Amino acid sequence: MTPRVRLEGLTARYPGFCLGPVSLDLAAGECLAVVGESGSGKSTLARAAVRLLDKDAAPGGRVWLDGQDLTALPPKELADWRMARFSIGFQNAHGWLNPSLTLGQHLEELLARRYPRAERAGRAALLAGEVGLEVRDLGLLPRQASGGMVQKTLLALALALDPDFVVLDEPTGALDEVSRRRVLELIRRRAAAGTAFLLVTHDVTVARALCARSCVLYGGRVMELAPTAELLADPRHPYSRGLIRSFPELYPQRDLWGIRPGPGPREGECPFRGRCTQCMPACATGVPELAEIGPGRQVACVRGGIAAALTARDIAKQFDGKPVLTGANLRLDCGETVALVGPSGIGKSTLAAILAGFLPPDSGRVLVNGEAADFARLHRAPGGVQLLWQDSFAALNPRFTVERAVAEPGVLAKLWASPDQQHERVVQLLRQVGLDPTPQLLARPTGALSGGQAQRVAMARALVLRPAVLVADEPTAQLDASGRANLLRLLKGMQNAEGCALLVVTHDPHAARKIADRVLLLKHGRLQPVDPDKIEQELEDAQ
Amino acid sequence: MGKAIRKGWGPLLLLCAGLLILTLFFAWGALAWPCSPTQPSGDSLEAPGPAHWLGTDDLGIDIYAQLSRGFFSSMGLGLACGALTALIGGGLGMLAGYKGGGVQAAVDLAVQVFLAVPQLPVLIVLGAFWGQDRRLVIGLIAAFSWAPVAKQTAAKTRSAAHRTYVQAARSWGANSWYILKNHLAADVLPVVLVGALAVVGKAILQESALAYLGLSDPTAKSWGLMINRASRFAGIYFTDYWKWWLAAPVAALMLTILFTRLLARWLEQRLLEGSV
Repeated sequence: MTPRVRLEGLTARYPGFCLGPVSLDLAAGECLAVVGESGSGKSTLARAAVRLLDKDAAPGGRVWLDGQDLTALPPKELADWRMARFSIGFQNAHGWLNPSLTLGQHLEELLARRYPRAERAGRAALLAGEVGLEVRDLGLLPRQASGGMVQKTLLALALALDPDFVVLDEPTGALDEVSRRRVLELIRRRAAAGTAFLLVTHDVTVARALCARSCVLYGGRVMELAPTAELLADPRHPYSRGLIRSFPELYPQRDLWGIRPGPGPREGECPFRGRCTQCMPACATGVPELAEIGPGRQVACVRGGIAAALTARDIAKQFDGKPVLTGANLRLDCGETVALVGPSGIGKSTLAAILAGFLPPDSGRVLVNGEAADFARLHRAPGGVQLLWQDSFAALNPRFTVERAVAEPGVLAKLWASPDQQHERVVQLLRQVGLDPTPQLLARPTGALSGGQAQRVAMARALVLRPAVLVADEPTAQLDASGRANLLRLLKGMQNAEGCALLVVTHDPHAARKIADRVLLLKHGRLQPVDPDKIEQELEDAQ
Repeated sequence: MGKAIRKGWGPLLLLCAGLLILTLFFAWGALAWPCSPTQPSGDSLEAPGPAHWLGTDDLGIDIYAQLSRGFFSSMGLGLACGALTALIGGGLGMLAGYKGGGVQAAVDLAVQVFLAVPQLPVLIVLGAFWGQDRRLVIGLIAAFSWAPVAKQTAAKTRSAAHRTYVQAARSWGANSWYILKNHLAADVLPVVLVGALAVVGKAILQESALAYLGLSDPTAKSWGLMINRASRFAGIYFTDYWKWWLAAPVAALMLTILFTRLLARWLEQRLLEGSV
C-alpha cells in the first residue's frame, strides 16, 4: 500500500544549517510528530514538506501526495493544490495574516475557492466553532485579536478545505489548557477522517496526546523514529534521551538538566557528535543513516543507539557463607545517572566495589562497553571506570597536598608532559568541583581539609582520567544538609558536563529521586527497578 | 602553633643537647687531649688533676683519653648495629607487611626463631669464637636485634598497605616501589627509626658486656674492657682508685645509654603513638 504522504530525501541549505536528507512516510489518518530543540530544523522541514522554501535554500528531494509528486507539479497546479490538498499552519501567527482583513474575511477568502458565496459565512462559523473561536471574534482584525485567537484562525485556515495532508507548526503554542484540549481533539477527529498530519513541536506532551509515531530531529536529520509511547519510555538515541529527560512534565520530581552544551552539528559527521556522551572515533567519519533496531524503531547512530557503558550479569557474592548478592543484574547506559538504593548493610557498597572492579564477584560477569571488564586497564586509562569511595578521608593520603592528591592518577598514567600541564589540569578540575584553587589550598595537606572539601578533592581526582563510568559510593554520607545539596548538584552537573555514566549508591531516597534518571533497589541480593515516588515505601519493605 | 611545638619538642632538644655535649666532650679528649689512650703518660693510678682530668689507670694511661677513644668506638659500633638493624629489620618487615602471603609467613617464622633464642648465652658462645672481629660483633648484635623491628615494621606496613588510598593508587597502576616510597614510607620509617635507635643503646651495652666478659678485641679501647680491667684490679674497692678508674667508664656508659634510650622512647611516643 502506498502511503498517503511520502517525503523523500528532503534537503535544504542555509548558511550554517543543513537539512536532511529526511525521508518519512505518513499513512492516511496518521499523525506523525517531529520533535526537537529550537534550531534543530523542524520548521525548515515543515516548509520543505509543503514546498514553501525559497530558491536560496536550494530545496531538494521529493514530496509525494497520494502518488503525485508535488515537486513535479507546474506552479499553477501547485497553487491550486495548496490549501486544498495540502496545507500548513504556522506558529508565528501574525505575520501570515493580512492586517487589513478580519479573521472571518480570511476564512471566507479561502472558502471562496470551493464554496458558493451563500455557504461561506455558515462554513466559516462552523470552522470557528470547531477550533474554539466565538462567532463575534471573526469580526476582529488580526491586531485586535489575541495570540490564541490568531493561532486558532490559522488552524481553521489549514483545515478549511479538508486537505489530505496538513503540516502544523506548534499548533498549541499560544493556547491555554482548555483551548489546547479542544484543538487536539479536533486534530484527532480530522485524522480519524483520513487526513495525514505532520506535527512539528517541541512539546512532547502534544506528541504523546496525538501521535502514534514520533521522530526526533537534530541538526536537520532524523535521529530516531519510533512509536511515541516507546520513544518516551525508552529512548534509544542519546539525543532523544537528553531531550525527553529535559521535560518537567514527564519528570516532575527530578532536577532538570538539559543536554550538555557542546559544538553544534558539523558536516560529514554525526550531527550530535559534539554533545554526545558515547561518541567514538568512528562517529567523526560519516553521517549515520537511520537503521532498524526493533519493530517500528529506527535510530541514526554509529553505535546503534544508546550503548551500555556498564553491564552486570548475575553477580553473586557471599561473605563467610552468608549470601549478600544473589544474581544482581544491571545495565548502566552511557551518559546516564542511576541511583542504587537499599537499606544500610544490605550489600550496596559490596556491589559498588564489584562493579567498579575493586572486589571480584564469586560468580557473574561485569561488562564495560560490551566487553568483559579488564579493570587493570580500565582503572588506569582515560575513559575507564573510577570509584568514588565512601570515606573520602580514608581515600586520600593525609600527607599529600591537594595538588598532589588530585594529580596522582594522572601522574601514574603519565598523562602530562610537564608540571605546568599538570598544574593547569588540577586547577581546572578543582574549579569544576567548586573549590577555589588558591596556592594555599593546592599546598594544603588533605588531612587538614574539611569533610566537604575532602569529598570534592576526591571527586576531582576521580575525574582526572575522564572516566566513562563513575561509581559513587554514598557520596553524601559525611555531609550536612547544605553540603549534601551542593554535592548532589555538583555530582549531577559534573556527570552532565563530562557525559560519563554515573552510578550513585545511596540510602537517601530524596537524593536518588533528585538526580537519578532511574532508581534501582537492592533487595534480597538482587536489583529491581523502583518507581522514584515509592522509594521510601520500598525501602521499608526491604528492611 | 609554633609555641606549642617548641614546648612539645623541649625534651628532644634537651636529649640532643646532652648527646651533643657528650660527643663534644669526648671529641676534645680524642682529638685535642695531649695524652695517648694507649701509651702511659703519667704515674700509675694518679688521682684526677690538671694533667689528667680523670686520673690514670694502673699502667699510667690517661683515663679521659681512653674514655674518649672508647666513646667513639662504642658509638660507632652502636650506630653500625642500628643501621644494620634498620636495613634488615625494616627491609624484611616492609617486604613481609606489603607482600603478605608466603613472604610474610617466612619472615614471621624467622622473627619468631630469633625472638625465641636466648640472646646473651648465644652471644657469649659465638663471641668466644669470633668476638675479636668487630665487624662480626656488629653482625651478631644486629642479627639478634632485627627481629622486633621487623615485627613492628611489618605490622605497621600491613595496616598502612590496606588503606583506601593505597588501594586507589594501586588501581591507577602504581608499582610497589611507588607505593612504598610515596604512601607507606612516611608511616613506616618512624617505626624503623625508633627501633634502630633503641638498638643503638642496646648494642653499646651488649658490646660492653661482651668486652667485660673478655670476649671482644682485647686491644680495642672499649668501656666494657675498661670496666673489666678496673674491676679485676685486686682490692680496688679498698682504695680510692675505683672513684675514677671504675666510676668514669660506668658513668659514661650509663649517660650515653640513658640519652639514646630516652631519645628512642621519646621519638616512639611522638612519632608512633601520637601519629594518625
